[in-house]
Amino acid sequence: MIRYIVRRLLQMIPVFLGATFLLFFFLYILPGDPTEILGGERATDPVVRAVLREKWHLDEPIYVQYGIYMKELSQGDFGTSFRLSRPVSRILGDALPWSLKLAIVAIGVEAIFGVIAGVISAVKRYSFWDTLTTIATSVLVAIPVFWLGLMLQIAFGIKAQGTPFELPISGVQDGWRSYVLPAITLASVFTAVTARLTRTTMLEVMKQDYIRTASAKGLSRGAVVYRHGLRNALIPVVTNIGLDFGSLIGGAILTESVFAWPGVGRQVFLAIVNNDNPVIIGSTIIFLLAFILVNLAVDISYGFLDPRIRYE
Amino acid sequence: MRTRLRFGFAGLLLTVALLATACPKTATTTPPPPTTDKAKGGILRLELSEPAQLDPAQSDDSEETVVTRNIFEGLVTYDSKTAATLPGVALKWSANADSTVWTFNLRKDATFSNGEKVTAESFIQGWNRATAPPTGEEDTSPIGYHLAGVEGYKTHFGEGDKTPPTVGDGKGLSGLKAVDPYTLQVTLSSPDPDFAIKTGHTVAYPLPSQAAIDAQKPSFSEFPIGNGQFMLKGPEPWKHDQEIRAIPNPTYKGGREPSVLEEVVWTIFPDFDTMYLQWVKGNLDYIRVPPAKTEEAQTTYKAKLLTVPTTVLTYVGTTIKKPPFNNKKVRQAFSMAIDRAAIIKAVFNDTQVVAQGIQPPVMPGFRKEGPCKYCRFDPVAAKKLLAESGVKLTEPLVLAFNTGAGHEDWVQAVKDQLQTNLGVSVTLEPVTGFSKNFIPRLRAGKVNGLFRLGWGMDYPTPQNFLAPLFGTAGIGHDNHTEYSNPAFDNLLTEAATKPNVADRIKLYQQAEDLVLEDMPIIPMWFRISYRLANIDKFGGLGVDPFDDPSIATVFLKKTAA
Amino acid sequence: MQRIDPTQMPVPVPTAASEVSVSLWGDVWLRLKKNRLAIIGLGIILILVLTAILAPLVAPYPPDQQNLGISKLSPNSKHWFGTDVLGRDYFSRVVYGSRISISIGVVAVGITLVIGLITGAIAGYFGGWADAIIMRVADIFFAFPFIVGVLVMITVLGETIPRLPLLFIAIGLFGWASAARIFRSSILQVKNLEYVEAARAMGASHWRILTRHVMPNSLAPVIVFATIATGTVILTEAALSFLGVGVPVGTPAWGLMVSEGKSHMTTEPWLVLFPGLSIVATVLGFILLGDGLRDSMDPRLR
Repeated sequence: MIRYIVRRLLQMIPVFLGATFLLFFFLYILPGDPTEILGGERATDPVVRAVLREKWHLDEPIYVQYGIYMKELSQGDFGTSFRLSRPVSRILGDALPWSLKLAIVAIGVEAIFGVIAGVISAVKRYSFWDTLTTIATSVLVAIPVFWLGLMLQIAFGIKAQGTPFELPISGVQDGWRSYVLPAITLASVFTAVTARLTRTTMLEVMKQDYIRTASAKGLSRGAVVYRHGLRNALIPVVTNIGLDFGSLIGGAILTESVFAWPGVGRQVFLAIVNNDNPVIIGSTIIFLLAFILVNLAVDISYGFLDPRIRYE
Repeated sequence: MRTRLRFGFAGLLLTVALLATACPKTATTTPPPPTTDKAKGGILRLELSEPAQLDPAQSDDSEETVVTRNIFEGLVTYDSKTAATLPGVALKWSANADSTVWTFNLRKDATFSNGEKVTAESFIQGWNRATAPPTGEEDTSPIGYHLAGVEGYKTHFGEGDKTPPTVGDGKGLSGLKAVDPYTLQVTLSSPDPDFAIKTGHTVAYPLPSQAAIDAQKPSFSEFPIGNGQFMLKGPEPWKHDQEIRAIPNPTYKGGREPSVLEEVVWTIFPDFDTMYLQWVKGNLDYIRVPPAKTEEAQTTYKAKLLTVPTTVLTYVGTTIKKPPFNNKKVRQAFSMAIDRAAIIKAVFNDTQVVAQGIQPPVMPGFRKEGPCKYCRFDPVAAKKLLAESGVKLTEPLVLAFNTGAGHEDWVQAVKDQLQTNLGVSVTLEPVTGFSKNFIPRLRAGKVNGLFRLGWGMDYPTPQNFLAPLFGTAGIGHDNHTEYSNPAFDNLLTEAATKPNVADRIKLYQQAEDLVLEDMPIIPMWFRISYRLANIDKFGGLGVDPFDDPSIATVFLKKTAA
Repeated sequence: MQRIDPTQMPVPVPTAASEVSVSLWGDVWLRLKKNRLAIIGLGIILILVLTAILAPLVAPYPPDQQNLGISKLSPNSKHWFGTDVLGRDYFSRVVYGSRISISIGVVAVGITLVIGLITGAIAGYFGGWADAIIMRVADIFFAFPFIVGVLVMITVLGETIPRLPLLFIAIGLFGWASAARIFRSSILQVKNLEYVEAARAMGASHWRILTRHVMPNSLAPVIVFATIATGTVILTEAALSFLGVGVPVGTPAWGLMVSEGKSHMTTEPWLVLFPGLSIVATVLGFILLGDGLRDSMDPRLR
């Protein structure tokens, strides 16, 4: 088991290094002189450019720059943003908790609604509910996230004004209520996918022999479905939800824009369009780490759940 | 000031009072109106887009100056309604005969919000910092050039000097001198009768001691300490991407009345649409109206609508150093081929007014008859001019503009009009990132053809619309067309020698005429500011000369309290 | 592509007893025909393709024709979908928008498939070092947040490569890992089947086995993937245009039209409604068809 974990960890290291170096390469090798941006008003002054090149190590070969960056990174220094003149660690440090909180709520929505919908759909296969779910999930997947967000804003923010259904439409200042619309928007596609996945795996599992055995033994439908069927069906579903968590942190740009959510997605977007390399690299590293850690956790849980792996 | 035109600068009614106060004489204040209907308290809720930082020496963006203007106060301030120059920290000022040496007498009771006193040294410290060359730790100021007239600016800049300058090398602006703790003497390298007016600009604010700056948590640029009417509300006034909070500064002594508000909150939005929804829900007290919502503002919210002409000019610059725009007739032809009025109606819902000259409608010396003869829409004349120029336009030209500021629609209209009226093919070139991308590209000469820019008033003098944009000294800063005309420069220099405002204005007008004949830029329109405000709840809400909410005079109405 | 990862949805390959033949695909078609939702999906896609091809005939006006005097008209008899801010006929723009959607879908997914199929086949069939290396590189692409990668590529290469082709390439490039993974696992299942062993025993070369036996039989899950991926690609273009980094300004593309119409949503809702519905309908078509294909190719559901 330990060997398994260690082996997975080791496999992830080249991925991490590979991804970061690739990004570094892309950002620095290609046309565009950062001193033009850093110099601002003074950029036409060659003395100013020389000082800046010195400060940011821009004349060193790429692997030296990468090495310097990695060394500083290991000390927790993500560098300073070109655009905002603040430490990247602070910019991300302010934004990351908000992204995490929203992602957690969204996962909750996804897990609860997705699984329930999927189970009912599988148990009542080909019924009206099943068809409804199939169509609804397909439509949900097809709706652009930002459009959904805008519609929800209008419906629950403006049209519902004065009613008990009114919800905050932007920002984080209304406590738990601020989370509702953004979380629903963010979770929409993932919920649909989870529902479909749950349905499929449940159907798979229900056809298995041990289910028929349990049924034949005389167990009630409920016990069969929930005790035997669901637990096994949930394994791939849970791992999928877990993997979604990694995606949610990095992929919330649209939701954050529509709902003015102060998360990392928005910072990354602004950094990319403003050529703010330190922030781009810093946040990508965070996404990578989140993704790797989540994948590792999922793999390890597989190790626990699947005895074959345990004994490798 | 250069503007992004999403949120811009502007001016208001500049009256003769302004002209009078521009003279190098002692200024007088007008007493404030009776305050019997003011209630104490009230939380004023405003909107803002996330600023990059709040350090006044780095602020060249309206999102930042909206805040810093209330946190700091310079030698002079500008009247919220008339833009007249009024005493700020300086009680009176005077200049010598040829306006090269200025003396400012400061009040003795002005303090920063941390208790430090504001002295002449505070200004010297601030101005030196704003004009300092780049160092290992601090960034250069993008607006330091406003103080270029002060003696010592060039050498401090490091021009011609090959060794990188270092911080604290003692080479401050040599023209600054603290005659005594409360008397500041400024020596200029050339005459400038308008100099006192310029000292109200954010670049010229006083700063507390370096120790205080360094000690600020999380950083001075996120939590500046100023001497203004308001102070940021610690310990964490600026929650990034969320809000900025300020409260009246209890120790404030300066050119304005202390504020009676309880608090001011700027909620930060990533775009106009979300912000507008919050207005509809009643969560904001004063907003800029998104152009798309103009009609709604004029109907549904008629009682809360404020419309004010601003000084914000949109123009299309041309690369006059390269063909085909090195030919004057081509530039003139292009200008006449554009139907500005139609674009203003369709795209802007009439929130702009056609530019008939360089100077905005509210500037002294503005000529209503419209001196720009090439700004009229006349496709026949345009074609004729183009033919006369003898230039054949075979390759498509570029029209560059910065994204995310709402320019996408009108540039498409311009492209279409140039195609229809002149047969010219134009390619649109969107560039993301205004100061970090668009401006550097312009400066590096990477744009070939047309480019969209804006300009708004920095301080209320016509010279502000002439020298930075068209003067030879402006090349490398805001003169992006690199227009250089000795006759033009001479007119401005001559104007600087005239102590009488009316004489100066005549010369400024002649300079403007030169530019309007040469057309290095194509003036498009001036913005009309549309604002929605809860004027039933708050009094004193208006638009200040820089198109910002005039918080300085806002109070809660007794009826609303 | 976004996190709709059909690898999580089991797509079985033809069982040992069957080989690819006319009868198998015919069988798939028969089953598909019975699936009402899938037929609806197919119908939507056909309408889309026809509209795109016949756009000049279907659209009453050129999509770029501006007329500032009739800006922002609501839908009427002369302009069925109204006009936009610059007075362009909205119906014509929506019609031409189908071209962008189709081309993005086809080209981007095409790129994804080409890279994904080749690498997936090599990894799955040959295993060993090739497999390990390819899968590690795929991991790198998986770990990279999709939007971030596409955005970086667009902004960094925005100078050298024209925007529209760059968009296709960037979107297509970042999806190859999903395609490769699916194809690889499919091949892994197929390559050990009896008929493949038989071919090997008969002395067929690797190349022949790969191209004539293994790959065709592994295609089923990839076809499903490609169908659904086309839908996701269209959504990605819409998202990028919404953020302002998608198709060039002025292009009649649904995502961009929604983005431009956003600020007018309450006063001129048709500006957002029609392109938005077009996106939803189109993507829905691909999803439904993809679902249907998966169900019809699943031997266990016979």
